[in-house]
Amino acid sequence: MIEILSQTALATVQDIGRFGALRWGVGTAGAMDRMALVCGNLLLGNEEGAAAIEAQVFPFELRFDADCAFALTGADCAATLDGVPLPPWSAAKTRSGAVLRLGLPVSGKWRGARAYLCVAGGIDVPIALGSRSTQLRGAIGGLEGRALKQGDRLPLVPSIAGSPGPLEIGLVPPALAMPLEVDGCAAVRVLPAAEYDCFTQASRDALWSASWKITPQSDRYGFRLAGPNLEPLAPMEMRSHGIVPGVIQVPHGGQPIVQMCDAQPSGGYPKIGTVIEADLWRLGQAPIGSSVRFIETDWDGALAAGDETRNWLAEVRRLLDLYRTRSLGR
Amino acid sequence: MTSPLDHVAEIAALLAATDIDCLELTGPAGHLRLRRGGEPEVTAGGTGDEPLSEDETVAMPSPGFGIFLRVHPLHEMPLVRSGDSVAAGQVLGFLKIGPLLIPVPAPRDGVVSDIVAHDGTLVGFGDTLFRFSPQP
Amino acid sequence: MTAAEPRVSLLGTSALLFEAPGETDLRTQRRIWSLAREAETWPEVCEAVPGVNNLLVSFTKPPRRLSGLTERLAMAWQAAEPLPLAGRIFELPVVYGGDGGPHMADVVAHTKLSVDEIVAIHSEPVYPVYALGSHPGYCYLGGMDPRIATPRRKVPIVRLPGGAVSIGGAQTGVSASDGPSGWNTIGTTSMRFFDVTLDPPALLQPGDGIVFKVAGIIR
Repeated sequence: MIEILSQTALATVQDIGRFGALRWGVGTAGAMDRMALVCGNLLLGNEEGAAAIEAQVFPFELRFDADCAFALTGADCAATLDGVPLPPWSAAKTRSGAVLRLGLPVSGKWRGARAYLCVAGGIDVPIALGSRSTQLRGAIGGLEGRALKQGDRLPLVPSIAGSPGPLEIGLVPPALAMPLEVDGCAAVRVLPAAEYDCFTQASRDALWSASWKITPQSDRYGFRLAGPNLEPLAPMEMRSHGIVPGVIQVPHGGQPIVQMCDAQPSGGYPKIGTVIEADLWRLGQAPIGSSVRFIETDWDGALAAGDETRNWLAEVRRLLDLYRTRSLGR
Repeated sequence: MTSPLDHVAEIAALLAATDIDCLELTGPAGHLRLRRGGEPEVTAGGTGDEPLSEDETVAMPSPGFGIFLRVHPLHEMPLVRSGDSVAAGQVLGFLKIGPLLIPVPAPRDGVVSDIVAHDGTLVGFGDTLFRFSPQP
Repeated sequence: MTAAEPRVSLLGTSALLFEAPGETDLRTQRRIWSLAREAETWPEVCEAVPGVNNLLVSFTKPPRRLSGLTERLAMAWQAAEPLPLAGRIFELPVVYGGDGGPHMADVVAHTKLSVDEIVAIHSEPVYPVYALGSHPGYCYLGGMDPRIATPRRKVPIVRLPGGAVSIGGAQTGVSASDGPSGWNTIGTTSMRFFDVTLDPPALLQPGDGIVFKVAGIIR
């Protein structure tokens, strides 16, 4: 068991996401930084998509009520276990009763916004429509379909016999291993979407050249950006259609909104582009008040970006397996 | 006593993950050189290169090979400086193998008297990383 | 937005959007349902989800070349016969205006119609469920009288309550739970549209019908 000690945690249980329920109006939810989730689970020898706690308001405190192994990834929050500092992006073992504390995200060489606590086996909440992810709207999945609060107790999935087991080591954060910046500003790659050509040339240019500030009205549903107004050539009234996380909608006001993990699965605003799936984790970690740049890409470029992250994860998996056999040999 | 010779296959596989072309390991059991595209060379017998104790300090050998890091890649400040008191288990540095960061913990409570290995350099199994004064 | 040929565009690397040519009508929508059934049998397709006059096709994994999939979609669209209506009709009592319909005044201002006229027009038809989306259990309905069409709001509402009956452009619908919306709310109803413990979890499905019954008008 894990007990939440923080009063207003705004943390949720998330796994890799809920797929195949769009037909009922249910979006994917899932970790905003899937790379962090997968890395934490790999360190522990868990299934890659196992459920974890996503924390986004700090400080955040919890207590382990069992001996277990855990991994911390995502934002570096100067974590301590019973007051002893823990390195970021690493796994460790803990005794029952130990208190884990995550402080404010540190502005080091990379600043994230969301921290992930994976535990050996994974967080055990009921699977709803194929996933343990919390979908706040409709109160699906997670712990009673809601954000965690003080006093909540989360059971852990018993580790499966024969699972690889945890390694008390760390990883280089993917944001450092695969950095993507333009003029010192965090960047993500974007594929133009259906209405891209329906915006003025100046607006299309601005999409690629402006730095877009992430406003405080940004959350797991969507990031409302502030920058130059994006103007359509003529007013557009769209018919409702399916959308996915990453879609950049432009409401009538002209300030874009990037749909994120809790985004509704359909919409009716014009779409100027879509942040590619391979870069969504980068955006998911962009703190409020920071700026992002959009890099135009094409289908092949987007696939290559996906291959890069997949290959990096494959390398992590391979080296962890090797390291595991070597450690066991000792 | 473990020897790198027991782990040649795994070390070679890990090495393939890096851009390291050649790795030389020296330990009590002998000397090992792994070269990319080459054959392993093994020289049997001890090297007589045992760590000597200076004053009350002991050498902290590297638990493996990798790039020695005094600073976590996310941070600006080194984990420890010479003269720092540390607790048993406290992470003093990392060995980086590709994307993996292997922590190097303090063996027991004490003082880091010297940081021998240079940040960002390749170290081999058994190379001295720190000199350490255990607390009585 | 009328074009002779269907239009296919990208939703990043996770899905594509197929948009049928022509105006929104029930016959086209029934062909969309038919296309969805067909596309969902293809191995590279994770889900084929009808929208209004369009279809989202999500990938199990993004195909190396898109042309194969887009050509197959175009051919399947040519061959798609209208799927019949399911025939289930649900009656929803609605209180129009007042606190439950905070944007009625905006619809009045835009349409130049009275509240009574808007209510009469809105509660007249049997609305076919065109698609599910937006949020768990939400239905997009076809068949709204264009006289009460009102553009979406410039700034979306952060928290629209469940049961809100609203108009967005030429469409109408009922929200199934609290959440953000860019639509104009004209009334409210109480009905449970979604239960995760049921299979299927959504009460309604494309092809069902909804009738709004006037339970009250607050002027």
